[in-house]
This record gives sequence, C-alpha cells and structure tokens, in this order.
Amino acid sequence: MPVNGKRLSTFSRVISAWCIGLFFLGYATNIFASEGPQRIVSINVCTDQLVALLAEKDRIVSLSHLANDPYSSWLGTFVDGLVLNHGTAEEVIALSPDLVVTTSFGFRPTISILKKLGYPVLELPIAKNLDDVSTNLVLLASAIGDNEKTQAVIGQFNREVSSQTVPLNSQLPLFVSYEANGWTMGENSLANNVAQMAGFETIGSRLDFSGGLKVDLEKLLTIKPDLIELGYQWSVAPALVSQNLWHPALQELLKRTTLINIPDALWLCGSPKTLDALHILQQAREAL
Amino acid sequence: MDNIKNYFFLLSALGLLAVLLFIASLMIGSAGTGFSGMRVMFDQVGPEVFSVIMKEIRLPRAILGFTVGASLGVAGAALQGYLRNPLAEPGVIGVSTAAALGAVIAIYTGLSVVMPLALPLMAIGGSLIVIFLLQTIAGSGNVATLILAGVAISSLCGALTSLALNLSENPFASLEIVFWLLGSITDRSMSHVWLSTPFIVIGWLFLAASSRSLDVLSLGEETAVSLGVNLSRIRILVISGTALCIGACTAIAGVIGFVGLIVPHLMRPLVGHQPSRLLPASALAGGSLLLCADIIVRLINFDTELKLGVVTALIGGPFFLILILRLKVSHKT
Amino acid sequence: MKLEALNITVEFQSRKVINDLSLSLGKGELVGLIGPNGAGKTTLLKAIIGAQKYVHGELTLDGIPLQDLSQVERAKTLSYLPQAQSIEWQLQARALVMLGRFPYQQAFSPPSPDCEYAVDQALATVNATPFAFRSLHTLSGGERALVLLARTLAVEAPLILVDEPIAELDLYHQINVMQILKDKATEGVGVLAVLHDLTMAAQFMDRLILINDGSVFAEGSPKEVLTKKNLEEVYKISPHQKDLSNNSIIFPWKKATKDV
Repeated sequence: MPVNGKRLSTFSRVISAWCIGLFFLGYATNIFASEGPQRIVSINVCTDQLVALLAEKDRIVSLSHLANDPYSSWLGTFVDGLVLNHGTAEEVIALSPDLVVTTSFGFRPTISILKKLGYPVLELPIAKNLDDVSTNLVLLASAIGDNEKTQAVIGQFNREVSSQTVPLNSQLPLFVSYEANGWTMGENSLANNVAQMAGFETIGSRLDFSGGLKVDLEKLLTIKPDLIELGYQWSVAPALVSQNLWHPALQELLKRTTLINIPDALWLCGSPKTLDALHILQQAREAL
Repeated sequence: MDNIKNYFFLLSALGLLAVLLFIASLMIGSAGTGFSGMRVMFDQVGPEVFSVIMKEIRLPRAILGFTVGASLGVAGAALQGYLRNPLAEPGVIGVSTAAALGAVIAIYTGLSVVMPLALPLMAIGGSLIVIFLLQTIAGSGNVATLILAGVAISSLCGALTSLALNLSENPFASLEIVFWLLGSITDRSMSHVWLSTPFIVIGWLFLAASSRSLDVLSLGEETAVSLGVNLSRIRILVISGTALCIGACTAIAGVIGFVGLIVPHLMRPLVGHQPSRLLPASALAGGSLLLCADIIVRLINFDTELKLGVVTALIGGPFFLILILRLKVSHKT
Repeated sequence: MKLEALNITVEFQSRKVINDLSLSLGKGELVGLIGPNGAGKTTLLKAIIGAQKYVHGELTLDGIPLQDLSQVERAKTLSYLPQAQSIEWQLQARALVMLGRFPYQQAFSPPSPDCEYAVDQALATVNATPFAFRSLHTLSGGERALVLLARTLAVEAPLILVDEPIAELDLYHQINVMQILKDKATEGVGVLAVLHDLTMAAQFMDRLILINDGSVFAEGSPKEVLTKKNLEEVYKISPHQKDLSNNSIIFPWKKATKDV
C-alpha cells in the first residue's frame, strides 16, 4: 500500500485535528486574554486626550486632526507617528479600528454608518464638571480594558479632585471667561463649574443662565468682574474678534479688573489636565 | 408754493423723528434702559464707567445707526432715480455684498491692521467694481437683466466672502460670516465712526450734487442731454456717491438690506415723486428706520444677538414681494 | 437764428445710418422731416441735440459750431421732444413742465418768478392749465402728450425739435398739437418735426425734407416733395392723392408695383 494517501494514519489525523484545534483555541483565548482593543481610533479632540492618557500608544492608531492643535489640545508631539483623521467614515474604516471613540455630540451620520457597519463605537458624554471627567475616564477604561495604567491615572485624578477644597465665603469674587465676540458659558458648563470649585462666582450664576450667552460690552462693564479671561487673545490671525480687543470700553474694563490667561487646551475638553486650569484659578484667587 | 412748504414740513418732521430716535437709542442698552434704568446703572457702575458706556458704546452705536441708515436710504433713492427703476437697491443689485467682500479681505489678510484706512477703501473698491460690472452687463433699461445680474453678483460675492473667512487661520473667522451677511452695530466703537463718517459724508455730498439732474433724468436720457445734463458727470456722481456710502457702511456694519428699497418707496408719494426731493427725505427716514430697528434688536432679549439685517429683511422681504406684484399688475394694465 | 447741419455722417457698426446729410432750420419756419422707418430721422435729431455721436460733419448755430457752446447755452437754444415715452415717476404735471426750466435754474434754489411764468405760459399754450396739478399717470394719452409738449415749450428756446409728436394721439389732439406748433412757428420759433402722417405734413409744414437711407432725397414745399414718384420710390407705396388748394390729402393706398 502507498505511504502518502491512504497511509495518512489515524494518528496523524488526530494530531492534525489537535493542532488545528489548539490553534483556534489559542487564537480565541488570545482575544479574551488580550488587554482589549488593539486598534483604537478617536475622532474627537476631547476623546483624543482621554485615550492618550489611558491607552498605550501602540494600541492607538489614529487621533483627530485637532490633537496637535495647541489651541484645542495639550497633546502636542504625542501625536508623532499617529495618523490624524478628520472624522469621516471613510477614513475611519480604512484604519480598520476595533474601537472608535467620540463624544455623544459627534457628527451623527458618521456615527450611524460606523455602527451600522458593525464597528464598536464608544460615545462619551461631554464633561460638565470634574466628576463627569472621572466618569468618562472609567467608561473609557472599561472599553479599552482596565489595567494598571488606567487604574493609576484614574486613581491619581480622583485623589487630586477629592483633595481640593472649595473655599466657603459669602462674598465670592466674580470670574468671567469672555470668549470671542462676547460669548460666555452659563451654569452647568465645565468652565463655570471649575471656576466655582476655585472659589469664584461665575457669570452663569450672576446672570442666571445656562448654555451660551452673548454678553455685550455694556453688560460686562456693569457686572464688574473681578477676574476676566479673554479666551481669544492668543489668536494671531486677524479677525473681527481681534478688532474687538481694542475697543475703548474693553480697555477701560481691563483697567479695573485682573486679566489672566488660561490656555483653552486645558479646559475646552474635560480631562485630568483641567486640574491645571483649576490651579491657575486658585492661584489667581489667592492673588486677588 | 404749497408744495415746497409741505416738503419742508416733511423734512422737519423726519428730522425730529430722527433726533428722538437718536436720543432713545442712547437710552437703551443691556446695562440700563430708560431714565430709571440708567439711574440704576449710574449708581451701579459709578460716574467713570457710566461715562465710558455712554461715550464709547452707546454714542457710536446711535451715530452709526443714523449714518448707516441714512446712507442706505439715500443711496437707494439715488440708484432708483438714476436707473429709473423702483426696484433698484444697493442690496438687491449686489453692491453691499461686494463691499462686504472687500472689507473681509482687508480684515482677514491683516491689511487693515497695517493700514486702518484699507478697510473702508477696499469695501468702497468692491462696490465700485460691482457697479461698473452692472453697467456693463445690464446697461440701461432692462429691469430683469439688472436684477438678475445683481443676484448673480450678490451670490458670488457672498460665496467668496465665505471662502475668504474659511481660509483664515483664525478659528472664529468662519463664524463671523453671520456678522458680514446679516449686519450689526453692536459694540462698535468711536474709531469705527471716525473711519466711516468722512467717506459717508462725501458720498452724501456727491449724491446731493446729482439730485437735480436726477429729476431731469426722469424724462429720459436724450431729453436730459438736450436740457444740458452731463450724463457722464451724473453717472460718476451717482456711482461714486453710492460706492462711498455703501462701502463705508458695509465695512463697519456688514450687509444690511432692504432699507434702500423700503424707505424711498414709502417717501416717494410724500415728496411728489420727485427724485431730488426724495434724497434728503430718504436719508432722514432711512436713519430713523435703522435706529428703530436697532432699538428693536436691543429690546428683544435673545441669548444670541438678533442681527439688524434680520429685522430689516423681515420687514423688507415681504415688502419687496408686494412691490413686485404691484408693478407686475400695473404693467399689465 | 439758424441751425445748420452740414455733411453729417453717423455710423452704427460700420453701417452708415446717416450719410453725408445737410439741412438747415431757421426762425419762424415749421419744417417737416419725413421718410420711411429706419431712414435716420430720429438719429438725426439725437445727433443735433448732442445725444448721438457723428463721425463726420458739422453742426452750427449762426455759423458757430454747436460744440463751442456751453451745455447750458445749447440747452437754452435747442429744445427737444422725443418720441412717446413712459415716465417712471408719477410727477405732477406742472412739476414735469418745470423740468424744462432746468437750464435756467440755480442749484438748490426754488424756481424764479421767470421760471414760474414760463411754465404757466407753456401750460396755457397747450391748454393744460386745468389739469396742471394732477399727477401725470392720471392723465389721458392726449393730456400727457400736451404736458410733455408744454415741457418742451417751457424752455423758451428759439429752436424746437420734435420727434413724432402726434403718433399716439386721437384726431382732435393731432390737430391740436400741429396747430400749436404752427402757432409757435408764426411767433418766430423754428420747429423741426419728424412726422409719419403725410397729410398733416402737407397741411401744416412750410418746408419738407424727405429722407431715405440716411440722406436727403428731396427738399422743398410739400407740393414739390410729395409727388407720386417720390412717394413710390421712397415709401414704396402707391398713394391715393387728392390735391386741394394749398395742400394735398394723401392716403397710403397700396404697395407700389415692382417696376418703379
């Protein structure tokens, strides 16, 4: 009888079956035993920063194109070696992600397509205060797989937050963050909450509004802020906003109030770095 | 002549209205409205800040409300007299949008930082180019051609303005399109007043110089020539006057439409339909109308600012439609 | 006061609309400018008042070239009434007539008593005084035509050029307007009128200039000009003509036969 052919003994067959079986078992257990998704794509600058903090760099495939924009994000050169995306479905699919992270205010059509095509999409809510930041960190950690690193980051953040003391005072100084063209954020926004933690009264509570409000110069002059932050003074390229900086009324206001600069990148998105913004405000309060 | 007496009475009444609205405008603001509101404001902020609010915020706003409104009114009246068409208006024929494009280029390329006069000058330049274009394309006569050309130019300039804003590196630039296309005089300063008023006043003078010839132009171009009207002189006066007024206004307040359409139409029956008399009446009425619209903008408390151009469009849009319908009917008879 | 056009040539896109044309207009005469459509009559009038450029030729007033006169002087000397046109603005009749005083008015001052008088006179001449204070658009076609004519008369110019003054008028107003022009000529004004109605031309005009293809075809008294032969050749019609004592009645009867 010939050797190759019918001579494939039962023993060989069993061995082959076992090998194949082991292979698949190994593959399967590999997934379960892995530390979660290995190809993480973030399409929003806020989630970029959280992903960068919690996930190992080699598990991150792509961050949004604003990740290295100094005015939106503090990541800076972290993005070297990473692909930067503009949040379109095509780009994301081309990267073969196993996890897509964005905020719940992300562009709905893109998110629907990705979900329909079966990609896991994590939508994190916008953080309105430091507790929300903590919640988001936890949510993200569980999606990417909790490990030492994530626990360390979350642990440190929580410790720092709980160690903050909110000064109790009947007369709180008034802080206003006066954004471009007169925009201010009201109650229940990250900026207001952080400022309140630092011991300030905020424009949201003074004028009793939530959401955004356009406050004209007259109004600003009458509420007499003790501390003011002009969000747009860093802008180099000229626009109407830069013209407004030279308005005599604003100049008059600046004579009567203290001006500080809080880089937008710190508190545009809720992240552990927002604590730096808190510290800046706390220092400013001491100085007042 | 009774006619002239009525006319001066009208001008005095309009002048009084403008003065009253000017004063009202000074008394309205987010910090304190009316006598009692302003007293509270005075107590709250102290005399120095009060004076800053009045001199640096409310005063320029009231002045601009009048000068911009008056310019829009008189330019509309002059264009209608010159083109012998009641539908002509700087907004409709694309002159304002072109001015906005010029202004946007001046600001967002940084030119106006280096040379502040670049702002009104480039806006005026934009207007001039469009008016010449229109003369070439639509020539004289055909209403439909003129308005279609104007619509095309207006759309093009609007698109180019948006493009220019998008190309700016400033992240807020593309949001500012709302200001340029809908107009606003909120938080303008006295420097805007100084920057625009000389051009506006010269524009008014040019248009005033053309006024009597506009009367004669009612008889048609050839008859006007036979009566000694210098057609090219009138063309230059009307075109430059309009460009100066509209350019300077748009440079600091954005595009505000329909005032130049509504005001002359309302005033025309009151001045015996004479183009020359229509100019001063439209100026005063236009100034009053815009002051009024700006007061409305401040009395309606929105979280986001209601733009001036929205108020004038809400009134003027339906008005324009009715006007077209009426003209269509009258041409049929 | 004599207006002379010498060897005028007007070109539109290298086509000679008026070709080496000469004519004159003197005081106290009512001259008719007749000819078929496209002969260049309206263009000629426009050239005389300065609204149409001519490539060759000369226009003089008592020997002085017209272009040497200031625009104001020219305006005070030559008054022009174009073909029936629409006026966009609903002006008061009297205000419209006052526009004729533009060459005499100072900027921004009210009309002088002379101007008021001239306007009143002009309105009276055309019998428009009853409706002088009405808006133009409320008037009938005939009344409007009279008001526009009054505007032309208000200039008090020694020479008047009118283009088809009776074109859209009813029979009464046709005669009315022609009579007014005739009376003006009798007063010493020189009137040059473009007409289509040959009977009217024959009846009222002192002299006729028949224009064809941009040049003068015939000139002289109505009898001399309105011959069957001229009419057949220029208008390409066979008229039915009835001669009366000092004028003729001419009806366009049928097209001229081919062999003319």
